[in-house]
This record gives sequence, structure tokens and C-alpha cells, in this order.
Amino acid sequence: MASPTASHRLLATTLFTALLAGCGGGGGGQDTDAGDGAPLPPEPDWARAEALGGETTNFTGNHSTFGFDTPAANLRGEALALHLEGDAEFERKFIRAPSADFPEQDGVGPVFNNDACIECHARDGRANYTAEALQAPEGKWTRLGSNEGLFLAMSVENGPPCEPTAANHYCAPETVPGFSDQLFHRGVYGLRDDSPFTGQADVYVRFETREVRYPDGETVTLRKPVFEVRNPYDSPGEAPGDYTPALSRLLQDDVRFSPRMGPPVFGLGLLAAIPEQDILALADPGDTDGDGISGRPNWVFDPVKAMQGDPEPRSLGRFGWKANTPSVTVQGAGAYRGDMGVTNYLFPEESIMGTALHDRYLAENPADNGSHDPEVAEDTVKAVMFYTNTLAVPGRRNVDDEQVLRGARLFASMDCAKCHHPSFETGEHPGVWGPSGTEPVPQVEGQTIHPFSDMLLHDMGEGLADHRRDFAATGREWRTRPLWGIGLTETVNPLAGYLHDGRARTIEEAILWHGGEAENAREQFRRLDKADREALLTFIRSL
Amino acid sequence: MQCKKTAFTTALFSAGLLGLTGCGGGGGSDDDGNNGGGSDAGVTFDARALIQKQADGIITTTYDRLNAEADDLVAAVEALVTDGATEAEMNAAQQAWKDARVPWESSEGFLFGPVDSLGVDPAIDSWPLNTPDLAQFLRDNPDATRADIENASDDLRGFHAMEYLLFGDGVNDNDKAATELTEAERNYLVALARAFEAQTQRLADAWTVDFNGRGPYAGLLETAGENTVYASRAAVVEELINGLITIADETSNAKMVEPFGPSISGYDTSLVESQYSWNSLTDFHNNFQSILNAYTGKLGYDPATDSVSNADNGLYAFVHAHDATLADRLLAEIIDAQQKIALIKGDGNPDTTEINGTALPFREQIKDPAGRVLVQDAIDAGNTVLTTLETEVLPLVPATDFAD
Repeated sequence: MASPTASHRLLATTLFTALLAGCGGGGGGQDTDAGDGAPLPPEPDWARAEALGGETTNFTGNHSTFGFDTPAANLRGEALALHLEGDAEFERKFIRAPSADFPEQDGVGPVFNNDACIECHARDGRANYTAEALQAPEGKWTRLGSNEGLFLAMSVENGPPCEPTAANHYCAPETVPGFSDQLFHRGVYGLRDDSPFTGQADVYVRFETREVRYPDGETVTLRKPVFEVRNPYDSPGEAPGDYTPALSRLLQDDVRFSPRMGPPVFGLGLLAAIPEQDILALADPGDTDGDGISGRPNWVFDPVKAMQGDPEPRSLGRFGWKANTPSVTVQGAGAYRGDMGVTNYLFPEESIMGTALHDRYLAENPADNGSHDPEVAEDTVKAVMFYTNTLAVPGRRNVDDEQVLRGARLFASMDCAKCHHPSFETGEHPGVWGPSGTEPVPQVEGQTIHPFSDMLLHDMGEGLADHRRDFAATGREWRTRPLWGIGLTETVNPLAGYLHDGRARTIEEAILWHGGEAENAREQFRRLDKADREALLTFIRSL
Repeated sequence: MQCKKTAFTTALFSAGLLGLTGCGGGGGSDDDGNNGGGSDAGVTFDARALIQKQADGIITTTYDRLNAEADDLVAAVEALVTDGATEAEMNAAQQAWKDARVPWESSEGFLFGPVDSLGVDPAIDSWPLNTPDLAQFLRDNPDATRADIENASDDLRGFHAMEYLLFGDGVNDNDKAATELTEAERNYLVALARAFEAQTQRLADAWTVDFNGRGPYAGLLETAGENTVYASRAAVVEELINGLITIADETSNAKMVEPFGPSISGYDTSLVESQYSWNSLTDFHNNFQSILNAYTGKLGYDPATDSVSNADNGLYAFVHAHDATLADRLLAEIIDAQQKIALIKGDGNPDTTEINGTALPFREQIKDPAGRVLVQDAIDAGNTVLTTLETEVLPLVPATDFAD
């Protein structure tokens, strides 16, 4: 289905607006913000936007589980073929290297978190905890196994505050000695004789809950995952508290862990094409306007620039839960090497190269000595990166619904839109870089988009803090999550959760976890009457 | 009731009449089942009976059958262990594997919901199999248990691990003898089958009993518009059609094309599905059977004996409401695609055919000039189905008023 033409939409909007003006506001029935009694602002200009991804928007699967895995609507010919090639590769399962039977599919591990891109991005959307973990009695530990869409980022923090330099990769997280900057809970068969299929260590999760009460007496139960690392390879069988001090390097007090759930991967090319100056224009690191909201860019090490010989290989971070990655290419190639252990042109060495675990593995498995590295071809990586750059944003639903429109006005009035910035015009896309050339992505350029993110870091409070620095991001800061497509999350994967660790089962829970700079907005939401809370949620679910 | 979104041609009247009627309440539930995509064809279709038939009569019934076949498979491989494997027991186990394969491949027209979220697909149908690691694992674990399987990586378990142990490597034959089975292999087969059955039970339960506290998943389809998974009945119809598109594409442009390659010198037998058992063509046949089942509303629809009517509540009825000629043409195209696969198989001899006097499975057909002609015909026929679904059927969803 094509989106309405601009002229049709304008006329229709005018007519709808005129008609709705006589509706008495609908929703909560009062044309005021229930939080503080101030009048609601007029309908924002983005309130009825349907084509959130401009001409790339998907209107053929935007009500079903196919909402996130549809090609950009403006892909044609060779570009569409390249997208589909990347689609197939995104689903490809890897096995350990070397494999005489399946040389194109070998290379996973020797340590990893999952064995295919799609396993961490279910139907190109959010990942989920396993049903076993979700259904376990509160407090019961469940071990992460195969097909987990989550891993623990980790690093050591025991020194003074970091001053960014090229030498320290602009305060890149410091690798845990003998391990890496990501905990790989899976290993190929034979990696550890003491614990088949375990990687560097086992990871366990359990959930804690607490209640939040609205002024009207209604309660919501919030859920939070708690993780525990056990059985590290340098001290098999050890669990936290077994020894004082802990024997394993991984269990020392200076190691910080941060859970990261696999996020949706549609619309990434559009985000990559937002002009840098337009993002920086929204930054207010010192909160000079006094609204309690800062917005800071994350400046991160850029391996592409480094490989190109740039003496200052630093770029604006755009991707990842803390905007700790500069481009789709770096994110994707990093996931190949990191999450799956599949080396590639941008990351040609295994993540655990030089560790005792890897040295032991090589001694026992000399055939996997790197002689066939990189383990995935440049063209394959670039096809997958083109695919993730050109996955369509799903079109909105129910944009003319009364409740949706009231929710949009509440969204604007409660400062939600100050971080969840509604609209941008895209500029030039950097392309998918590889040593043999750059693959352009012109389909995402020159588009009016509505991601509902400012792409900046914000202090989200203690409740969400991971206390782990990630380049310029502090342990309380997270990048504003784009809200486009969020209304289809439950449809695409009913087990998926929201926020960086998938803790929130509903959008409502996610809002109630907001703190720090978003505390004011959260409290405004909490003070709304039930009808207006539902109106706001209905608006967000329409995205 | 919400202010209803329709296409521009009807928006003025709809907004004025329906919109004003609904605005006073300020509610927002999508209880009219409209997907907001608009209707310019004036076709109203009540999808309730169709959705119920698809959810209960096609999907859950298929998963229940898969689970029942899994039970039989467990029993069949357990018989290989209890008193030593006879050739009859080996044949029965091989047949049990093939029998389980039928409902699984017939479910691939609706690979959404719990099968994804619960991770069932990678746990039971992962490819490729890691045969070197499997051999080492068997040496290290001669008494493997279900728990060992559930801790293992996907490339050591599921359908294809069982297939490899039951049928052999499939290079020269697919009739591994009972005497070729080691004790470790027999134990591993039992562990594999039990882990497999646990997955099929979870899947069946998710559709019929409960899905993570949401009630049965089938109920989410049937109460579309009243839950946060499916916002409207239009969404469910879109889901069902996209499911058929996915398997038509997968079978035609991946399962057949990838091993087929661009030319006779470019084939790749390592990519052939069910290559150890030579069951590939039966898999493809059942993939199109999944399309036929959903489209006709008749589980096990057989074009030689069955007719189709709107009362069967297949997707045929939905297409027929718009265009009777299109509905019949698409049915003929699906049947044609399935028959083209059957031509590769050859009459009366599943998975083999007589080309140049030799019986050939799919993995050999793609190396044979005459076989490649037949495979190409099947690929083309499958793509005809795909094109019709994508370009003529899916666009009917936003052109439909799914009002109660």
C-alpha cells in the first residue's frame, strides 16, 4: 500500500482537524494536561505522520510479525537483490572452523554468544529471555544457554576518570585481562573439557520485582533482571562469594558488567544518514536552557577511520544502547567477530586472541589457527550491512484515532519529545565501507523521517544505571531509543522486553523505569488519569 | 471505537460520519477490525470464521500432529535401544523420522509466533550439522541424555542430527542398516528424540494451552483487536498471507535455488535440505502442502479428490470475496507448483525418479541436465505463486473492510 500523497494528506489532515475540533478532545475528556492542569499544546505536526521512514516505509507487513523484516519500499533491481542476499546471510548459521563440508559457514567461536545474526534479532526485532527464564519462580536462577539474545558487556574500571585520547581509543572500555570486553558464555565443543559448550564463563539470570503505584491506586509490577557470573575458565566452578578475595580475574570488584539485549535492526540506514550537525544541534550537555535535560553526544573510536589511516579516528557514536558505535558497518562487523566469533575484514582477530583460553584452544585445535581468516568474506559482510541499512521502518497505524491524537499532544506536553525527537531530514549516507570499495546506500538519503530519538546520551537515573563507562557515556547514561516501530514489538515477538536488558514487559513499564533527566516526564505520566495514561500509550503503540 | 481511517476517496464521509460518532467516547480500541489501511474496493469481509479455522483447524492441528509424530519417533528410537536393533525396528525408526517431517514441513507456511519466540526452530531444524563434532561428542558421551542435548549447540541436535544417525551420510545411499548403528549412536538418538519431543510439546502447548501467561496463542489470533499482539483481524489476515509468501519464497528461492546454483557447474549439494535421508523433495512438496492447507482451509487438501468452497474458510474465501477468478487462478498455481515438484520425484517413488535409467534424489537431480530442467520448472512455478501472493493477494488486505 502506498502512503498518501502529500497533498492528499494535507487536505485530509485539515479536514480531520476541523472535525476533531468538535469532538471535545476525546481521550480523558478534558483538553488539559492532567498532570499540572496546563492546556495541552495543539496537535503537533508529526502527530499524523504515517511514513515514519519516508519513502522506505513498509506498508505491506506493518500490522503483523513481518513488521520489521521487510525491504525498504524504494529498493529496486540490484539494490533489492543485494538486500535479499544480505537477508539470507543474516539468517545463516555458523559452525566451528574449519569445516571441510561447509567452508562458507564455518568460523563460529571458539567463544561466542550466538551462532547467527537472526538469533539475537528475532525477526529483525528485539530478542527475549528464554521461556524457562521468564517462567521461573521469582528468585530462581536460570543459566543462559544457546539462542540467547543477550550478553554482558564488561570492562575494568579502577583508575581515575578517563581523558579521551587517540591512544586510549577515546576512553574505550578497558578489556578484562585474560578475557575481553564482552563475556562470551558459549564455547565450541571441546573448548573446555570441564564444561562442554561453556565459553569464558556461565551466566545466570533471575528476576526481582517491585510495585509502582499511581495516585489513583492502580499498581504496576516492575521486573528487573539480576545476573551472576559463575564457572569462569580461569577458576572452574567458582561462584561469587566462594573465595575472599575471589580467585578468578572475572570476579574481582573492579569488573563492571552491563547486560545488552539484541535490539531491532530496521531503519538503521536512515539513522546513519541524519546529518551530524543536526544531532549536535540538539545537544545541551550543560543544560543551558535549564529544562533538566542535557543530551550529550558520545564520541567513539572508529575502526574504519583507523584502518583508513586517519590520525584522529573518532566519530559520533550513533548505534548501540550507549551510542558506542559509529556506524552500521562497525556495529555489524563487530557483532560478527564479537557476538559470533566470526572474524572479518574490520576485525580480523578473534576477540580472545592472546588469552590463556585461546592459547589452550589453539594448542588442542591447531587446524583453527587463523589461516583461513577472515572467516567471512568482505562481500558477505557488506551484503548484510546493506541489508540492515535498508530494512524498512513499519508504517504507522491508526494515525487518525482520537485517542492516538490526544496521546500525541500529551507526548509533546510532557517533554517526552525533547529526547524522543520526532523528526529529521536525512542527508548523505556514508555507505558500507570495505577495503575493496564502498557500497552506497542512496535509498535512505533525502528522506523526512520520524525516529523519535535525538541520538544523544541522557542520564536515565540510578534505576537503569549499569555503572560502566562506555567511551564518553557514563554509567547512568543511555542513548535515546528510537520509538519508531515500537508498537509492533509485542506482535513481532510477544516475549520481547524493552530497555537495554529487556526488563520491561510493556511500554508502560519502560516509561516507569525512566529516571534521571526523564524523571520529570515519568512523574507527569504517573500523575495522569487512567484515560490519559492509556491515550499516551496508545499513541506510542501507533508508532 | 476509534475514528476510522479509510482511503482518501471515502475519508471525507467516513471521518464525518463514523468519526464524529466515535469521538464523543474518546475510546481507542480497534474493535471494528480495520487495519487503518483504507478500503477503496468496497469489499467487506468478516474474517472471524477464517481466523478460527486457520488457528484451530490448520495451525494447532498441524502442531498437534507434529507432537504426536514426535511421540512415535521417541518410541521408535527407544526400540532400537531396549533389545538391540533389528532391521525392522531400524526401518520403523527411519519411517517415524519421515512421518515427523511431514507436519513440520507442512507448518512452514505459518512460521510465526511461539515457534520463533520459544526458539523451537533452531532447536529442532538447524542446518548445517557439525558431523566432526558429532563424532567427537559420541566418543566422549556414549550415554548421552536429553539434558546433554539441551545443553548442546544447535548444530548437534534436531531433525538433521537424527537424520544423519538414522540414514547415514546420504552420499551413496539412504538405507543405513541397524547393524551400522553403534551403541553410542542409539543412545544419542534416544536423547535427541526426547529433546525434540520436548520442543514439539512446548510448541503445541503454546498454541493450545498457554503462551507465557497470555493464554493459548491461537486465542490471540481469534481475539484480534482485543489484545496487544494482534491489533485487528486485518493484521491476522496480513500475517497469514505473509506466512504463505515466506514459504513460497523460501522453498523456491532458497531451498531449491541455493543448491541448484547458477549452472550445472555451480551446484552445491551441501545446501540440500534433508540430504541424508533423500527426503528433500518430500519436504518441498509439504511446504507447498502448507500453502494448500491454509489457502483451501482443508488440512491435507488433495487436488485429485477435494473441492474448495468459501465455506471451508481458507484464504481462498478471502481472495474470492474480491476476485473469484484470481482465487481460482492462485489455487491452480499452487497445485501446479506442487505437481512440478512431484515431477522431479517421479511417479510412485518418492524422492527418486528415472532419469537416464537411474533413480536420483534431489541432491543428484541438480547435477543432472535433465533433472535440472525439472527443478527449474518447479522453481519457476513456485515463483509464480510467490508473485501472485505478493502483488495481487497481499494488496487486498488494505482494500478490505474487516468490519464485524
